[in-house]
Amino acid sequence: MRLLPALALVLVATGIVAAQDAGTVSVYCSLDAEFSQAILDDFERETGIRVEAAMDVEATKTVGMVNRIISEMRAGNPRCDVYWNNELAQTIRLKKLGCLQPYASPSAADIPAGFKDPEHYWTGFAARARVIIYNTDAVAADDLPRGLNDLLDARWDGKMGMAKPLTGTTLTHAGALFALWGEEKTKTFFRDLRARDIRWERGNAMAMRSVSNGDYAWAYTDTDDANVALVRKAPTAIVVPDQGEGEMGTLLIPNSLAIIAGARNLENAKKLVDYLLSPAVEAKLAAGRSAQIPLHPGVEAPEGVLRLDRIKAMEVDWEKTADMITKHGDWLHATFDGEAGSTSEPGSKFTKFAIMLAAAAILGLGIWMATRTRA
Amino acid sequence: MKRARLLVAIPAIAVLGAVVAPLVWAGVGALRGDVGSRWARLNGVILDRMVNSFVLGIGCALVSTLFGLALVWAVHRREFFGRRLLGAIYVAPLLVPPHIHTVSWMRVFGRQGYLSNWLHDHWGWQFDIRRGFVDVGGAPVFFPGTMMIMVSAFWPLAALVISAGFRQIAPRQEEAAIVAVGRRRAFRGVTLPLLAPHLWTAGFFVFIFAITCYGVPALLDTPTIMLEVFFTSANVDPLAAWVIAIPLVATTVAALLFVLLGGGRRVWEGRSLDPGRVTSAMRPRSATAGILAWGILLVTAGWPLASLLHKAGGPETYRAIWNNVLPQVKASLILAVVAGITIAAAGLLVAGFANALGRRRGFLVEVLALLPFAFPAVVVALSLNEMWGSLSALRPDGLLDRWVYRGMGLPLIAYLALFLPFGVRGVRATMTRLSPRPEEAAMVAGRGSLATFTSVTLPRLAPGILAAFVLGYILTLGELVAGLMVNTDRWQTAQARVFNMIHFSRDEEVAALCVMIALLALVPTAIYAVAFNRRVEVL
Repeated sequence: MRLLPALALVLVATGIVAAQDAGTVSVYCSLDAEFSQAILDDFERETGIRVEAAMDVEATKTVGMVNRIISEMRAGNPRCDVYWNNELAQTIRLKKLGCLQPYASPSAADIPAGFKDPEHYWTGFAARARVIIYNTDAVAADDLPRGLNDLLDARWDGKMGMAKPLTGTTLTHAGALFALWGEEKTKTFFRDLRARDIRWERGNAMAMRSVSNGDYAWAYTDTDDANVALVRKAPTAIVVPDQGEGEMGTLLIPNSLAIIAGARNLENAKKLVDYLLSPAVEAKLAAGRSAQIPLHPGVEAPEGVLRLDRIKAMEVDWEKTADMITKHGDWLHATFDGEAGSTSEPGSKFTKFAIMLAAAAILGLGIWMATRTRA
Repeated sequence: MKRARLLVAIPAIAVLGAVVAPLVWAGVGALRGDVGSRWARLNGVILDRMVNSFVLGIGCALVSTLFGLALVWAVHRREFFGRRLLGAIYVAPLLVPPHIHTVSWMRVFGRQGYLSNWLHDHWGWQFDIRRGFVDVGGAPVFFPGTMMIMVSAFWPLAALVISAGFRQIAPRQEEAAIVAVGRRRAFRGVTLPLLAPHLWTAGFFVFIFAITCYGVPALLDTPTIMLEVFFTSANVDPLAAWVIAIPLVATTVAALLFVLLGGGRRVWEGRSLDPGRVTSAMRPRSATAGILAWGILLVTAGWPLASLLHKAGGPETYRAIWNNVLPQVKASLILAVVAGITIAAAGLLVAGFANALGRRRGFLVEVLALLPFAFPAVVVALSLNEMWGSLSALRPDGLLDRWVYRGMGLPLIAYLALFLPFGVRGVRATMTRLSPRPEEAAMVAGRGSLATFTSVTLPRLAPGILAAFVLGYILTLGELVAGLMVNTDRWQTAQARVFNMIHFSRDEEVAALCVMIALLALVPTAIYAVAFNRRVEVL
């Protein structure tokens, strides 16, 4: 019993010592550890500031980490200093919920204005682009798909694929179209798209993989996924979509960085943000397997990585895009996920209930039949 | 004596509280705030998903029970080449997590699987393991590929339960019936009715495992309710996910209660009675039975896993990924060992508490410990995140924050919630078979209750505790969802890594890591089996 007060003292002391440690920064990172861990390790080595990183995995698609930040903020107990998101829409959601604080990093001075929040709540860097990946054995060079309109072209029926616009960058792409075209035109586009014979995939990587394997001729995907196929020397190539005169250009989705409101290690958080926004980090991300597109002008990137000054990027109102995702997310889910989804007829619902009951009855009857007689 | 009981009761109640409280917390949270929009999600989509899951679960339960019955019948009632070996290794597929079964089956029957390619090249059949059939209201409700993979992962579970049933049947009853009415009618009229509670239990357990499985439908993109819950939890609102999980949880809890309160209680509690030996006359030689039993094991597990081994290639693949995956493999190993110890210790505490309360109330304690098992791992994980994330009392960088919320504690509680029933059962199965006399003698001889426990009870319970540890270790090593979802800063598991590598289409590396995980599960199980000459039995 005498040990209890001593133990309590040790516990409290441990907490205090840890709380007073000024040499740390806590980062929640939604970019896969595959690409981000080495960069955070470099920061730790170069500055001596210990990085406590919580990494998301691809399967939870960013939002797992966002939910964690929201839940901690709700309890008035933020543990995170910096949020490194591999996309933008969820960062804007955090801004709208009051979870972020502004910081104008000097490292971001020459990042184009379209990739920064005017109020400095977030800054974009190292982007991915939406591209078309095609199988070079299946599509002739003079007959390539050129953009979104090809998705609705009947001649490609059964020959193209795409991830459902329910998560990740495909959802952001849908949100950007809602913001650009308005509700009616976009819904018509997606309804028409749903009616086409498209192979709907679980994610962009699956679409890339199916094209590489020759399951179908081409698909919409992201540059990081397309790069995997190129590195593996699969018979594939990419087309940057909608680059013609008067066309909208391709969507670029940057990583985004933000400092959490009430961050406990604010100075270290600023140092980390400055570091991550530097051209050197963009160069590392460009050279990595994800082939991210640098947003700083003049950053060295390997051949094959798209360059911002050589492509036509879609002009995006990011705040509006984030709003559109929130507003139309359920509609997209009902339209794309589950073949029938909420469009099931009332009659079919009854049939489905009947199927459930019949299945249960078959199981029960089977076992009863098998076990009823005694010799 | 009263103090000793308290010593067991307090930590046992704490364990149950740690496991059940987050579920209650999140459940209550789901009923507050933006309740309307959460309940609005219980719509036609959820019904569709429930139907798909239900059909999948029932189909999987039926086929798994049939496979399990066929194999166990052959092992217990027929003589054939390699019977003893088969009896020892048929649980091996359970060491391989369902999503790894999926990866291995996709090597064979996936869109680019070698058998799919062969079927396409020679017969023109376009085979797609993900395809659904039987359209109702414009959507398929039956997914045979998903079902087949789940069967290959779960039938050994059914076999384990049915095997316990065979061990409890007095062979003399069957022998008399065989003499009177012949083998076939004796099997239908005596063996099957005696096995009925075990068949029910096996079917319901497989059903629960199947409809709460995330890894298989996620990889095959089968629209089940679990995928919907995961999607909502990750992409919308965790509490909305809790709401849409209600029909699923109601189904699994009902199935569990049906098992426990029905005939399955006898199965769950086991029997200490020695039913007698199976004579050689009861076990005629049968090559057909041997082919059937070995065929089930080799086709459902051996073949796809061999394909995985083949895909991984030579040592160079393992060498290439070693440094990349080492942190996750280490994290998984540490978590599995610590979780195994925690599950065994908590199992001992709860089992001891249940025993101290007597048969009826003890059974209720065991039901309470079993309850989180009916909750899908996604719901357990989101409940833990929700409760621990919302605790404003947690001082940032304080001990609870560092060790539980951001450390190993949260995943450990998740594993404890998911696998405690196996720990409790592992210990209780041994406990109920022991005579209380040595303890009574020690007490009469003047030993204190603690000394009696450590020097008499504990050594006698060792096999049960060890079984609980091995089960906890294996199950933790294979658990995917907790690794993906539970908030933690430093404990990304090998399973989560496999899932990520699948996303990045690194097939050879995925195969190699899967083989490594399977070996990590196999080695301690084999050591346990050889050292203690027993299988991991919980029933």
